Amino acid sequence: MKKRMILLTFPGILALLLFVVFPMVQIIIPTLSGQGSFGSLYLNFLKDTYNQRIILRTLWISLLTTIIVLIIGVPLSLWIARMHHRIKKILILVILFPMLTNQIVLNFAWIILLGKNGIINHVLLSIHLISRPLSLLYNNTSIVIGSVYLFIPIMVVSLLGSLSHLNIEVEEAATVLGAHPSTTFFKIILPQISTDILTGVIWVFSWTMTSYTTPQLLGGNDDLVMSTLIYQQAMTVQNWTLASVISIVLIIISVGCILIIRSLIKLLDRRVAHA
Amino acid sequence: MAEVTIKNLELSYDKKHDVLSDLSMKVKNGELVSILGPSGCGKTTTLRIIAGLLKPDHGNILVDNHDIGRTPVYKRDFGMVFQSYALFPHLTVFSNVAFGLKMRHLSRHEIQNKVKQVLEITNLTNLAKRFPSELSGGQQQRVSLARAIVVNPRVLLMDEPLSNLDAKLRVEMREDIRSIQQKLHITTIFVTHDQQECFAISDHVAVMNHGKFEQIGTPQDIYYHPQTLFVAHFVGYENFFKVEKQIENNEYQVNHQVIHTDFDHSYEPKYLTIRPNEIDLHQHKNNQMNEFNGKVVNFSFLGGSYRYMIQTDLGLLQVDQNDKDKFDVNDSVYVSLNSQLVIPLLK
Ligand SMILES: Nc1ncnc2c1ncn2[C@@H]1O[C@H](COP(=O)(O)OP(=O)(O)OP(=O)(O)O)[C@@H](O)[C@H]1O
Ligand SMILES: [Mg+2]
Repeated sequence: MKKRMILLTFPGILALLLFVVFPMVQIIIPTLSGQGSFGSLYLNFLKDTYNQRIILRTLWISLLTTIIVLIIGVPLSLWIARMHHRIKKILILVILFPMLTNQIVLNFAWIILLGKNGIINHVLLSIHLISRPLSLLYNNTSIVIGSVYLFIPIMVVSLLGSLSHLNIEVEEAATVLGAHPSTTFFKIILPQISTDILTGVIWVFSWTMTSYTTPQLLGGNDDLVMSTLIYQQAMTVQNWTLASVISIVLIIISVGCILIIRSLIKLLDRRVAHA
Repeated sequence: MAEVTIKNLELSYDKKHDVLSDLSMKVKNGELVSILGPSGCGKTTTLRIIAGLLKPDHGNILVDNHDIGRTPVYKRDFGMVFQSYALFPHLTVFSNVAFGLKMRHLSRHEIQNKVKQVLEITNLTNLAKRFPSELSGGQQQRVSLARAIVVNPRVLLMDEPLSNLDAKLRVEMREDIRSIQQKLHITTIFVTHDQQECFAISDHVAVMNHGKFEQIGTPQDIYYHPQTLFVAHFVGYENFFKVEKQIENNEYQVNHQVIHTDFDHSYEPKYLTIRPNEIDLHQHKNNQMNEFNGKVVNFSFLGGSYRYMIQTDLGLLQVDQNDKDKFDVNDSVYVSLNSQLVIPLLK
């Protein structure tokens, strides 16, 4: 019985080895030693203050994006979940729209909106809120704006399912017992959906960390993030080994962050449960 | 402790059909009033309006003569036992019960004591660390009860709080509810569709039908002096006679026969009614008042008594007798209706 099971999984395991593990090993091996001693490529990369700034910038953009997506996404999903089902369908369609469209097209839309001669500056200037056009494009701000727009649907989708299943009477029970609506939100609603929020956070964070199109199109040349740096090393400088090094660093940082987020939320969850 | 007045409540969910129409009632300080009615008559809707979870289209809720229509739910200091229990799924039994006390900013020590006390009353002490998903329906219902009474609310609203308990526990818990309610003097509105339960614990009963109160009175009032066909039916009257005309002061024509009632009344009745166990069944003519000839159609065992169906000139009558040996199917019999117990119904 057991033998047969192993036999049956063999094609799957083979495919995994061939298409996932083998290429990974192919990428990793050249980065380990390089010209110097073992791991020197990684050390040199991490020691460079320019690279450090890029890593920090990537982390900062991802963190900021995740927090903004969270702040907008959670109430938005709750609001949608509580709508009449006909309006709900329309709203979901509107929210999901960015996911159905090409990322490049979406980012070009932001270029039109945020540029020096863009619509936003134009409006702000014409109502005399500002005297000189703001530089909204080709910096961290525009990357965050673009990423938030891109990833809100992911948060909404991962929350909507469980929110629709929440029993409203449970919240009403809290209210009758004297809980202010904000208390009900934090002590009753949030704990019930914390695992789904966690899923959403991990999705958004890791996708922002690794996304390439948005920082490439909306970020400035002086404001590289790790993914654009990889591209630059591989395609412009033709230094594939360094590109691999950066990729591995990116993967390790992402996984590390995800683990930290998970344990943080678990801790929070436990405290809420005993509150 | 408060007096609750419901004034002319009206509500329609779809703006077409009235779910509640012109509902009025007064619950005095420390009283327990039951709302008794069949499924779908609007009991839960009424409680939700009183709690403030639902806005009525018309009408007011007064507590101690203050209109609380604009008081937010969380400031009302009410307690509510939901029909669906509505326990906090992410909190243990202990934390569920403690929630309301925390909202009232009691000290940790006080919370511990009060929760312990109420868990004892509701037989939940050894389940304190469980989560709601790990409890049976009846246990969940008790948690929901404990959670509502522990805060000693001004007004306690209970939506069928005992519906999921077995017969024995049900009687025990209703005694407990009654004694807690009387000890703490909590004004309570209790929703049920079990008449025995509501008679056992209520000061007053409001019988509800299609979003209206048909009759409000003491349990004895409702049981012995029902005023309408619906109420009479709901509390166990089975024989109804449509009044054709009044013959004399206390005599009415029914199906070309005459029924005499000694029940004191000042209104013109539409129906007369009598309970199956208050009709006397005998073999020989006694020449009494309200005596009619009939024939046994069939009988069935009810547990404790037998119910006979008797075809008479008044129509088909249901009569309860303690033994079945006396009469058989197709026997010719006489029925007599005790004129003291023939109740005239307003509508
Ligand atoms: N949210 C709603 N939308 C539309 N109609 C509703 C809604 N809630 C209840 N109703 C209707 O209003 C009427 C009264 O419902 P309610 O829940 O008050 O009945 P109830 O007396 O509590 O019944 P039960 O004993 O079965 O709990 C019913 O006919 C029901 O179908
Ligand atoms: Mg109900």
